[in-house]
Amino acid sequence: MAAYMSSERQKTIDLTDARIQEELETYVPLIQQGKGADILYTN
Amino acid sequence: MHPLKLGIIGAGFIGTFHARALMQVRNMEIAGITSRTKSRAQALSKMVKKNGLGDGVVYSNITEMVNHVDVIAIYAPNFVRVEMVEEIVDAVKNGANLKGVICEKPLARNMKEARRIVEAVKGVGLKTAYFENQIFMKPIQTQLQQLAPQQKTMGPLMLTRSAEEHGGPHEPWFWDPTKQGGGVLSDMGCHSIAVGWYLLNPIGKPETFMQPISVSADCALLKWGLPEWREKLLKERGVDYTKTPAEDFTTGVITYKNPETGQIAKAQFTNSWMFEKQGLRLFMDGMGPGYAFEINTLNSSLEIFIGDAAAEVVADAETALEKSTASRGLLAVQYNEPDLYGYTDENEDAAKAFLAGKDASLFMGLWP
Repeated sequence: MAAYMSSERQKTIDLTDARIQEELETYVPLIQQGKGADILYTN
Repeated sequence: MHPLKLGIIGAGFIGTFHARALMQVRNMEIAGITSRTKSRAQALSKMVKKNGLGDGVVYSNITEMVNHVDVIAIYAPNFVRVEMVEEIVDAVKNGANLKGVICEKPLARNMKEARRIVEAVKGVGLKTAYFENQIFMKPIQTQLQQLAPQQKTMGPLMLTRSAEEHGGPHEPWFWDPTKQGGGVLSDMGCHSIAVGWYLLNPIGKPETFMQPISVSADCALLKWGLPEWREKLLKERGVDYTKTPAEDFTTGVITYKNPETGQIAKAQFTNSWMFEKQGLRLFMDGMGPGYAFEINTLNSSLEIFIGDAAAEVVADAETALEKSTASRGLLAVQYNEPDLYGYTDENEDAAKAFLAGKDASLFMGLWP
């Protein structure tokens, strides 16, 4: 999940950050939501 | 000791692959099969009986099968796993005497679903096995044995690179990110990330000893986003990548820290559904101070050549190699893929553990 988050946000994800850990618990990648066209066809 | 009676949910590619692995495993027989597609269940049952792997009775649903087996293996699609686990757990609550549950990777599509699964099985005290086959690969385990003196003397691995690549999955649901959980990162990145982490742990330390501290990753849609390939996908798999695409390439680096020494180590992963070689390739290498290893599953002791004139007689190129893309030319052949890729050993590990009343080496909830 953190790898998808990193790709979406185009930045390194700090896995030691408690806020990130909490966010990952409910995080659903855009691609999994069926919204991949928004990020995969932008380049 | 009587062999464990295994009940398989799902009779597609992976269920059949595991049945091939069980030809080489003692203490586990395939007693039952259930699938949403009855014709597939019947085909797998026929294969099971033909090879003496068990009775292979076809059941109409999970609840019906649970009371006739010791262990349930979930080889069904990712998007139905939570409900399947809950059905198994309900059966246990109603008196079914299961010794264990196996789930093929990935455990779920996201953390929320994974937590539900882990909490459900733990809630009724079920022993579990999480099937991540690449950790059990004989080349992986053999390099650990061979390089143990070097690891102990010089220090553990500091860099691993893991890649699994092929031309794309078999089943349409794999291509649908809402059903599968994503694209190739969800499908095969979980293998490469798991094996990278496993390899960085110093020998003798648990699977989660090295602490992940950061991840940097990239996902892209390269080949299957091109108009002609999108059209092919829509026509052959019924999935429209114009509307709901998934990534066909991913790469990234995960940084780990040794909690005892503070030493930093890195695991790089690369996965694609656009690998234009003979078929499936697993590649792993590792670098320690003064030593290294490398695995490439396309290197085989058997190569065959098929010229154009003879190519028409090849009925199924996948008899040579999983996800094979060619039926002529110089072909790599792997004659025991279930064993090479670790399926045999993960089944053996689960059987031994469940017979001893324990979780398998890799169990549901092992990784945070």
